[in-house]
Amino acid sequence: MFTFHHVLFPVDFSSGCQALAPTVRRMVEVWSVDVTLLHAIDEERWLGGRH
Amino acid sequence: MRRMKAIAGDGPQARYFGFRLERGQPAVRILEYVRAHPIDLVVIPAGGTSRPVGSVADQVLAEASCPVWLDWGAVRCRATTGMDARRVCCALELGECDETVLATAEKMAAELGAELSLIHALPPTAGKPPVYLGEVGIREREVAGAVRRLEWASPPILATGGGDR
Repeated sequence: MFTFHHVLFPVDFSSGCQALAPTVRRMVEVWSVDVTLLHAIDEERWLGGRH
Repeated sequence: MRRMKAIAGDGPQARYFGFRLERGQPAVRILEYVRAHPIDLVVIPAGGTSRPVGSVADQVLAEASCPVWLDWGAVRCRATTGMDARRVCCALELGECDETVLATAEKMAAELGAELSLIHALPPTAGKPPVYLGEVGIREREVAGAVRRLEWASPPILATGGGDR
């Protein structure tokens, strides 16, 4: 049996991220892994402090 | 949070999903999370617009302490609903880590029903002018040597015809 138990899926809601979601759901079906969706809000970037 | 729940879907698999909001630079937060939790795999779209790999994916791939599933298919097939993994490409350096990497890639491909391809890139030879790489005889010997090492590293897959060369 597969040895992965916990998958991290960082999301930024981009088109690439949305398109990858079915593959991640498929991983859950096949491997019964726990998945953590992590969204990081880069406030500094949005406020114009860094580009 | 609503958008993250939409990604998880509303099917029976949704209960396997957890959600986390962080503040800060995405790559830094992702790597911190990987270090602080027992993460076995990071799945991330390549995400590049002006280059093949975006800056976040690039940093995660370089620094994560666990395997990283870097997905280009999600970008290419963004209009395809229900996309599934059809091909897994395993890059081998023909070194001491290959056995673990290859075993992981083989399991992933087998359980997803995906085709497994093995790839090894020959580095340019240090100190030699570029024309050296164009000399057919020398280059062919390098390729033949790499193929032999690849066959040595992956006999079970090559023996069953499960991999591409």
